[in-house]
Amino acid sequence: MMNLKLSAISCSPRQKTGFPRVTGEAKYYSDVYLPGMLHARLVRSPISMGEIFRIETGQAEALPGVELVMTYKNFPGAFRKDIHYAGEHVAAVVAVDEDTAEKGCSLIQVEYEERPAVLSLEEGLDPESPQVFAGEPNVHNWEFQYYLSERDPESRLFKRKELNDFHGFGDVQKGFAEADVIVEETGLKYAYCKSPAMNPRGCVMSFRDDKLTVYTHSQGMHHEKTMLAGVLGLTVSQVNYVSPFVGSSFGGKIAEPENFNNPAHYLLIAGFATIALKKPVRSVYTREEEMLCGWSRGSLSAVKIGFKKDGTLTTMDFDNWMEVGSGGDKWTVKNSLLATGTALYSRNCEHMRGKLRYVYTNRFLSSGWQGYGSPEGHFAVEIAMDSAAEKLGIDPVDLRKMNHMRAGDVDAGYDPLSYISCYISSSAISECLDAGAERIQWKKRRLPPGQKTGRFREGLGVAIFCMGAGRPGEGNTTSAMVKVFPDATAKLISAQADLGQGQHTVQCQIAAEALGIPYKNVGLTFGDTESTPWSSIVASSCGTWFQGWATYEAAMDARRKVLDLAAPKLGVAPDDLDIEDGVIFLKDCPEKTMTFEQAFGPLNIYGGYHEVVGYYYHQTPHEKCMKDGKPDQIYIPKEKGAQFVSLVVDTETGMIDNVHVINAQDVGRALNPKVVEGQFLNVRHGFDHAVLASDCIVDAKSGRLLNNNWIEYRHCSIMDCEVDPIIVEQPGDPTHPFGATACGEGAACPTLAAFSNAIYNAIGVRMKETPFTPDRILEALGKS
Amino acid sequence: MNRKTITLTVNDRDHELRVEPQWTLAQVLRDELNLTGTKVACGQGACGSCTVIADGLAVPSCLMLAVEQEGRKIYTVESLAADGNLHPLQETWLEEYAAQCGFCASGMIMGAKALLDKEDDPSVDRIKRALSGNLCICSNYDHIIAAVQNAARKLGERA
Repeated sequence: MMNLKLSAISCSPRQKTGFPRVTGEAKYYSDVYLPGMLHARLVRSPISMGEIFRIETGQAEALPGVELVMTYKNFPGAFRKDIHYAGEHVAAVVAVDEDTAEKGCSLIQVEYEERPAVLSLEEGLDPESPQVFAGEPNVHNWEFQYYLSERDPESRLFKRKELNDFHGFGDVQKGFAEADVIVEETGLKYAYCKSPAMNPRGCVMSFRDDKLTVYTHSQGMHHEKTMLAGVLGLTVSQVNYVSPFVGSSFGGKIAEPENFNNPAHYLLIAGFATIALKKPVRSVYTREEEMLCGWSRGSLSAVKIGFKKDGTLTTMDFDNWMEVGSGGDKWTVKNSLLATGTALYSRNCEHMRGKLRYVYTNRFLSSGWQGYGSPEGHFAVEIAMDSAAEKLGIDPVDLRKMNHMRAGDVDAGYDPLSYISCYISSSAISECLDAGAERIQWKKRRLPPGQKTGRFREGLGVAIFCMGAGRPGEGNTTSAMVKVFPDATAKLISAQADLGQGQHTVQCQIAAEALGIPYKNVGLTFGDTESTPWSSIVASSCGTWFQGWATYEAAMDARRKVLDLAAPKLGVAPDDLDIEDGVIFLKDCPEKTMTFEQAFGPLNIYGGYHEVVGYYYHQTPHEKCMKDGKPDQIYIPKEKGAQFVSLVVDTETGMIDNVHVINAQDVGRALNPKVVEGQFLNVRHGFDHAVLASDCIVDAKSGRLLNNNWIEYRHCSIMDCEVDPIIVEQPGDPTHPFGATACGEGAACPTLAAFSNAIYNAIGVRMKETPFTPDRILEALGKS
Repeated sequence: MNRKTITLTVNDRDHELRVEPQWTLAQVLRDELNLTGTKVACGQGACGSCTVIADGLAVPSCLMLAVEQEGRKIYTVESLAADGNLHPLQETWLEEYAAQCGFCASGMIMGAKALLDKEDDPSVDRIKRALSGNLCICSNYDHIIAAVQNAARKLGERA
């Protein structure tokens, strides 16, 4: 590993692709207007369950300006006859303009054969309810749960795993029998809520000269392109995927066109239509459609924890029933375990049982976004820990300090999916707790609920978190390319998506630091698949960590090649040389220097070294993630930290006000402190779900989403919630070239528990169902 | 088709347009004038992505009918760096990392400009009130406030 100059990292240089974002020149997919472009609009089902009995499209087809009407009959790859949720798409009209397409939609007559539907998680759990998918139960055990055993006394790693109907280790019965104090919380309900995005999903496509160009928003262009080519019957080389800007996503826009249960149908509709008509087609969802199709999440949990008298957490039993709607992503449920004795509380936990279930309902699709199941687990466990602290008579901060994961503790959850268990690479949760407690004046301000009187009551709450950070398991790949030029400038060529999380900036910082040239000298080629090498999907908060390795190693590859050119000219070995501020010099004699231009040698129109190209294909695990180079002893990085909430409850109205959230998070090294801060500010999404009553409300009879807009489904404004980001740096995480870990989704994990704990501290009632609406608070106070 | 001919004054240029009476200003700016810096995110005036300045006021162009805008002086984000140099708000937006995904930036910057056109040195509270109708889903408000304050300072130094 190189000696860090810290010239391009640990600072906040100007945003790399910010210029077009602030001038209005950035072309989001919806800003693409192609000559002769047609517009697609959709007909959506008014019923939640059943099938199309009759569909009449003749009038729409006859409408002047309509070029194509699509249904399950002519495009079975994009539509189906069965209906599984209200709002499922049943037909599309492609026309010369949006108004004509809308009119065409109104002329399509559909008759449905309606069947009883399952419209809530509770109904899904009821064995008497109808089946969402005929012949299949609504409640499923997550298929990949393992019992871990044969724990090595020295390494603490498990050596054996066997498929089971729960995930865990030890013997929970024995653990509870031996426990001094047992705490149990049930009925912990995380409301079905939506991934937010400014730009609603959609695409514009054009098929010309046997080549498909797809303008859309993507977290992983190469991955989506390959899938889409397969579904549309094209070769991968025929497709260029264009997504320079995303318009926010938070995981909720990940598109898998080959998976019908993933809400990426705009890609299928525009794709089939543009190939059939040989004209550009635009399929853009309205806000109402985005509210319907954006990924949801929600679950029901129960937690039981056993402690020794001194507060040592020895045993945990955890149940999570994750609603996936009508066949959404079933993998999300695995991440709920992150908050349990398998990871966050792995330090002392000897007995663990996590029962993971996913539940079908006739509601819009659910999948993981911003936290991917982890927020649901944290909501349950961190409320139970608050309850435990009270029962044990220990300060909630201290109880967590006793039990949270440390560097070198074992991760026995799902992040190490392809291993049996792994080591946690770093964890400064105690330092985060101290920093947050000091900032909020925890000891001074936090009085027990019993001591509070009056109408307005202040409460303080805390919750800690750990979130997966970067898919370290075997088989994950990504790549990057770096070109270096004779004037000591460079171009990073990378498909890594910048959703707003700052990856364009941070990856250029990594390249600059590795090359030893100023950040301003590094440009970026990005935005489509034809001009960039494969890059993995931006998910699991993996940009800085996972893609960071690819960028770093590609830059190091280019750097080595530059030094190989310089060394013979200076009569030394390449290892004797270093680069700083774009100048090559001898390590032992820094006065002896050489420019890149001198190293590259003479240039002419026929040849010379006009550029040096570095490339790296990153396959996990990187050798730096192996403890002492042992491939069976892997380090796993985590996002981790502590969140504190202070608020005031109005006991007359049930309203919550004066909300202040502190997010203290250990990021290893903050490569760009301003970008890191920006990620922490995302805790406001928790405020949406805690206070602004962001919950998908469906009509109890039809299953239609009632609050499908931003007036009734509110998001945090600039007036609503104070956030205090505290960056805790402990450089030295062995799994990253610069000792950084990750930051992104972590801040979304503990917020709802921290709110619930703060409300408990204010009014002495434990709120176990989100959102914490005034009517629920009044009911809890016995005032409804 | 029931189109009307109107003249819209956008970024100091007059445009003669044939528009449907139900077309919104945002729609006409984007679809007819190719000024796609103005974004539409909610279509209900709930997010401010479509904010433009009309006769000195920051307004949601998705709620305004184009046929009613004749005679008004309308400015979009494209007017700010028309001379090739970034406006101080755009400079500070970059320095403070005020645009994460960037989709709110056009509307947010125009909202801030309407404020700074009237007030030299607005307080944090004034900035919050002025931008209370502009959502940033990345919830990057603290950076946005810093960018507006710094831009006010830069404008003050220039004056």
